[in-house]
Amino acid sequence: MLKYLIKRLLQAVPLLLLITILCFVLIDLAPYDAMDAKVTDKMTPAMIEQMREEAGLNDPLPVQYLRWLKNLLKGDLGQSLINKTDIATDLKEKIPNTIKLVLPSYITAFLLAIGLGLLAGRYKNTWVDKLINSLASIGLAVPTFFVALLFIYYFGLKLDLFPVMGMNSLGEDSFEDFLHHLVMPYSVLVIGFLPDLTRYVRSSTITQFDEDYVTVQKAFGSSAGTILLRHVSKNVLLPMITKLGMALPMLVTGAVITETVFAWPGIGVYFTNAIRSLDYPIVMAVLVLSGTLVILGNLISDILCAVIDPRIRVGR
Amino acid sequence: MSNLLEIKNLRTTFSTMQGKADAIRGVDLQVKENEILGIVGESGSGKSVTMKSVMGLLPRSAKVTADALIYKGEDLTKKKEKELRSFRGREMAMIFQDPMTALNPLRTIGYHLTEVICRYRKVSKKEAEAIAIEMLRQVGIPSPEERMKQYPHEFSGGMRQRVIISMALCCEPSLLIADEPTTALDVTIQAQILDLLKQLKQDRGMSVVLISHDMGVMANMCDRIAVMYGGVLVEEGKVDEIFYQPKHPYTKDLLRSIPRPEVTRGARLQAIDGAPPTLHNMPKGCPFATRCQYATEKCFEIMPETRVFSDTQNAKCHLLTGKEE
Repeated sequence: MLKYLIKRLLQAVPLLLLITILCFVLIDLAPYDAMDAKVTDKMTPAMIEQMREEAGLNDPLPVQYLRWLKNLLKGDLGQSLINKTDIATDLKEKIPNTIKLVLPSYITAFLLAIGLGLLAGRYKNTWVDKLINSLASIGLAVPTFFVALLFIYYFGLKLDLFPVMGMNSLGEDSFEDFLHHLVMPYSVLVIGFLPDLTRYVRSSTITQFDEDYVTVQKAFGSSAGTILLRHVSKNVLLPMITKLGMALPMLVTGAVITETVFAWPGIGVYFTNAIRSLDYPIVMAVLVLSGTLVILGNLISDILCAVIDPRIRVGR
Repeated sequence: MSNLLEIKNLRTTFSTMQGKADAIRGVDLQVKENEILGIVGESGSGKSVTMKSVMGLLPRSAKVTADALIYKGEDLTKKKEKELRSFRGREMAMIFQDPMTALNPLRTIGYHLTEVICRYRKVSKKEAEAIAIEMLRQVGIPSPEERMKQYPHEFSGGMRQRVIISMALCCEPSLLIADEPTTALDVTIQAQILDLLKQLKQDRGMSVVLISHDMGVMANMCDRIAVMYGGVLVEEGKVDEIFYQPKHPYTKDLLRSIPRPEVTRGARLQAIDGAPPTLHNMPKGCPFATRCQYATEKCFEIMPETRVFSDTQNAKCHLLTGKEE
């Protein structure tokens, strides 16, 4: 088992390298660079050129890349080109905030999706299913930022129920205050995650109900409820575990848009600003992190599947 | 022998995208106590649908009506779904064509068995396990104690079919419906499973309805045979009557198409020309008319009445001269 894990992780290394090279090249292809974001009217071309030289942006691309990679291997994510802040310190501060928002939202959406999906799949083509399915379709079609804006307009401005931005009121850091700020971005994210997951569970449930073993169970007097709970649900959950594993990178990049709209002090605003100003060390750091999480997430879900599915367990 | 199950005028219609499909068009059939009744017919003739209609196993798109479905003196058509559910398994159990997919891949064999045992008998989990092990032994599964902890994928097809049969036995049903139980198995395993069914009928006094299109299997296994075609029961009789004095032209053609061992190399296998009617386009007359070499104009227009030839044999054909029912 340990050997398998190590093998899988080693296999991931070339993939990660490839991702970083690709990103590096893409960023370099942009017609401007980070220094253009810093330029003001008062700077002479010579000053700008000097800044560029200092940031190492004038070096050939392979040199830049290898320098970045060398630092990464030493555990140094580098500094922001714009603010000169240490990226590792920034991330340490911002990622927990993102996790505080994404984790409860995803778990809520995941559990709700299992409930709603099983219900819709079990009562396929009845009004329950049609209601759930059409709401899910609408949810899938409406972009998150639009939902966020609607929430801000109705619950933030019109009804004045919840604060519209930030994670804490100024000078306040009680848990109640945090929860009060959490409600709106949390709800928006749940609505964002829910439709896709629900439809997934629904179609998986429908497929399972068509399986022969369901007819056999029925022929032996099982009620539909028993079949659903004791037999179908476990089979439906199996692919859901893969989904769960794949959601791991969401802990970092899962709420970029929502965070930006609600000015949540997580990775979102930090990341979008970095992209806008082509602050490549930040962009690369976040990408490496989420890339690693994708690979880890896949590995974890494979292991969990093997734990649950006896067919895989024996195969190894 | 008295009737265990009596089906009167069973009709099953599926509503599909292409309109209504009449799968069963007025079937009368009796299953007697402690007999093996064979139902034969081509694919789509309605053999499985007939028994699934009785069991209530068809999807919602199926509409099942019958004048009566009398089981042990009780009319099943007058029962609510909840009462019917307790009939399934305990009174009538059904085993299916493909044992490979009939068990939940994520549950152990023991789970499958103890679940049905606990449903019908008031026993503790320990006792249920003991019963399950005993049942596995009875259907011929070696070292059942260890097998209980295993998952379906660790069993061969034949072994899985035995597991499903033992599941049925756990419920102690009076009627076992076997829907092509050996089609997916190879020939030696097929013989073993059929022997097992025969033995269970003798030992336990069960009735078995065996659905198959294999006339050889039928000849070996059955006490009586019902021949279905196009959703209609065209002939029924004792096994000797069907094989030695078939009346309906379809039965005759069916018997003629059994491959014989003495067939010389290069000789063609006998087949019935044409294809059976599709469900959406059922003729108003005899369903076999288009393929029948004796068909007259009347055959295409009017559905034939049942002609009775003996206490046990009857057939539906205009050309036959038996007594009218």
